[in-house]
Amino acid sequence: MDGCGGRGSAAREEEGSGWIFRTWREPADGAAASCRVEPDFHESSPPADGLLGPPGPEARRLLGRLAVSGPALPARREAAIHEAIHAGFGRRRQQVSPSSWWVAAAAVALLAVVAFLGERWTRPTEIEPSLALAVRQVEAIAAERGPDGAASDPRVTAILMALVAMPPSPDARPLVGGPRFERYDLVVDGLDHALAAWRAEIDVPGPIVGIEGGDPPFGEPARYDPAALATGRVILAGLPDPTPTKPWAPPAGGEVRVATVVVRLADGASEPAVADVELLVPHGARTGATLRLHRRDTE
Amino acid sequence: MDERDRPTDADAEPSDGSLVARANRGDRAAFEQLYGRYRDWILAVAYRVTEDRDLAFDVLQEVVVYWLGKFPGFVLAGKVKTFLVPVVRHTALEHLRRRRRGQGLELPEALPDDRPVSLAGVADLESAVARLPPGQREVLLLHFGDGLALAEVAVALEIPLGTVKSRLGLALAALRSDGRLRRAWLGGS
Repeated sequence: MDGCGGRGSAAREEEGSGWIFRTWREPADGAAASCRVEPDFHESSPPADGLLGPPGPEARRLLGRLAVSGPALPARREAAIHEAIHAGFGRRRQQVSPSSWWVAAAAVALLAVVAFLGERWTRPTEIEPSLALAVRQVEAIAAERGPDGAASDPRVTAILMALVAMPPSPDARPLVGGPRFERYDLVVDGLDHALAAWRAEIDVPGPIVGIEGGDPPFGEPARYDPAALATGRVILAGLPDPTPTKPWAPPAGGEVRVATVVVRLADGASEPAVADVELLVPHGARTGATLRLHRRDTE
Repeated sequence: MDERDRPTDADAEPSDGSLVARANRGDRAAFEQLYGRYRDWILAVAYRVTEDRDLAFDVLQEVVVYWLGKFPGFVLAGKVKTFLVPVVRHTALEHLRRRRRGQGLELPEALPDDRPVSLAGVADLESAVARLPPGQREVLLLHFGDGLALAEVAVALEIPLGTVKSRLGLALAALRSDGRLRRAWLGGS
């Protein structure tokens, strides 16, 4: 197929463009007509009309090499990735008990205990590890039998019954261990003047995966210092929008969110903290306001 | 059977599919093997997009964590590369955007992909490929270098099949504009 529907015979290349055209005369009126050949490449045979076609063995080897030609991964980076894989599999999956039936029996027993305790259960987070284990076990069964097989597996039924009967946990942490994403608002408190600029260094026990703007007039995403980031330090800074429609004043209470960062945290990682902060009001004067990190609830 | 499909009949190399199945069952070594198999390739794709070593490293790390998060339950519908290409590209572009926002810089303007480029005078095929516009180079390498079919390239790059064909046509037209490149391409003397 050349895109010309089989019309025309003589093929010519448009000078310098690389496009191939076929020309012909319409049978009805003899008018000259042309059509651009749309290249259609085949794996096994070179295309017609003098197009270059698939590469020879040497060129194919070269392209294969180019396809994987990238920078060499430093050992430190390699180690970090293996650590991430280890964390993802080592803690999350290899500790799953091989005895699914044992867990199912434990889940049924848990169901009985929950039913017995009823509303007297005052510390629901205490059962969170059991919940996490149950979820992991369902995942393992699904991986073993596939989604359809798992749906009809009596072990899953027993586990789900236990889960449904459990009281909700208001401050439950993510059920499955391993990396998680958290949003932290950078909030300036105690402002008595309009904020002209801010700069903060924060200790983050994981990589920052997103930087978002705050409330007006700090709607633009905060700037970060890439040189510091390369050395593991996180330094953020921001200015109010350059052309506000009207001068802004600090809101009642002197509190304004200047940015939000999204952080990937490993299971059990400590909370990010503000290490250093500088807040400037107009004319470069300092202010007694403070900046704090506030973890935003996902719901 | 094509080598790129990682056949199961090889003595030492398990197929991607069997590694995925083992990783779905919690076998970390299987995922490590998948990672080792595609690490350099992910880095290469990331580097082609970002043209920055450190950003490419960041992209690799993020892609591996993203991929890791798919297990258990990861379904390999086609080739691993078909799954990974859009992930790597999106992650790389997001890193570029983030850097642009952080530094207040504009991204460098890439050569438009829909225009022919003359590579006349470039005797070396490798240099010629490197000088192609990014979109054309990506299609060329994915198709002939990585062995993805044109339809798979279209899926991986999330562009229409016609665009894949036209970009490939333009890339090949540029390569054949020089007789020496043409010989190098076809493997002639």
